Amino acid sequence: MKSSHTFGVAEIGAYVPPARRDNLALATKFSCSEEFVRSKIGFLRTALRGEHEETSDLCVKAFANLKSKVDFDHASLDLIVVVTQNPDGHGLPHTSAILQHKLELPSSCFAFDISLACSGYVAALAAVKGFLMATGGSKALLFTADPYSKIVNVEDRDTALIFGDAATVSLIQPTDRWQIGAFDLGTEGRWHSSLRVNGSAYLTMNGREVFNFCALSVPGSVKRVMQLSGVHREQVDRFVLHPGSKYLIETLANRIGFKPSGFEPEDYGNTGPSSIPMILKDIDPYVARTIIVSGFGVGLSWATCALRSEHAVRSEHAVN
Amino acid sequence: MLSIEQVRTLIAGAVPNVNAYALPVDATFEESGMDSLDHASILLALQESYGLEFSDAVAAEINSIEAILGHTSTQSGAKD
Repeated sequence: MKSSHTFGVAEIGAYVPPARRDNLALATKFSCSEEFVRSKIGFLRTALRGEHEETSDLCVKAFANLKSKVDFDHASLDLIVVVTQNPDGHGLPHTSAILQHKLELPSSCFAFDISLACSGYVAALAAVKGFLMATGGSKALLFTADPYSKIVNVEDRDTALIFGDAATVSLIQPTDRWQIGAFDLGTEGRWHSSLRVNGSAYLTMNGREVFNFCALSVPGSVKRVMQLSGVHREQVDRFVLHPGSKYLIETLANRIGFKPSGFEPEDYGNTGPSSIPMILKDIDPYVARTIIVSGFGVGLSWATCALRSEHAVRSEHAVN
Repeated sequence: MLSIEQVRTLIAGAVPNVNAYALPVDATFEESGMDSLDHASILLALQESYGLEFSDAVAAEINSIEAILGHTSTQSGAKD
């Protein structure tokens, strides 16, 4: 059924594994104060996948959560995408192909992975919208699942207190909810070594370089998207920025000119590309009708876009 | 070359919850109660305000008002 609506985020499902690592206990090993963890890092706990839980398994659970919120015919799916840099096995075949099999989706549903981290969800919104428009498709599932527990060294002060595991899935289709609008994206490859997996297969991070990159790149990107969208800061109902840390969010909020509304991932950590949809799923799209989302990280890269809901009154989910 | 006053003003802007005007010149930021993220913000402010960039090794040494003054007097704003 052809819709006059543009593509948007119709619904979001999520899964956070129940296991947690206690950051306040871990911080003592690094001579970090409790105050530093609470007020600067912001993550009191980080979520951990089960020992045998693969990236695709996290996606399956997020999918189950999505289906508990909205029903749709699997045969109507044109595309599934998984945003991950920590795929199943060795990454070949791609995790989305494995997931497509686990979900028993039809062969008409194409599947591919996107290798991005914290900028990945927003960048993938552009990729998914573009794919659907180019192919005449109408429905896609955008999964994010990037379990950093596979690569984080718990002895590393720079990363052990930050990253948690989670998966989300966004139903992308013609809708009046959070329609995908203007974008601003960029990559500064000269900083690619600031966040990398090294020869020991562990993640390493130059925190200062990453902080500088975010502080210098993100505010300008957010302002460009506002300009492209024809909105002033006061007209934006909510800024949803990738919560790399509480200190980073406060720094960016101060530079952009808004007051952060809490710090949602306190209980589960920085979940990479899942971080933004983890926040979005708890926001009413008909209350926060105009939002700016921005993800930034590995690459180093950033991706910002505007999402706008057409109507102030909640409408029924389209069931196709 | 920066003045002490300029450095204090820069620190006050970068780390608002610290009384930058009461900091001992020779005390490290850590001794003054600041942490690594405060230090990073100060270094970023130096970069944005005065075009100064630092390698990780030099950044670790620029950890007091005295060190900032010493570095800027020798570098004259040149990239490190």
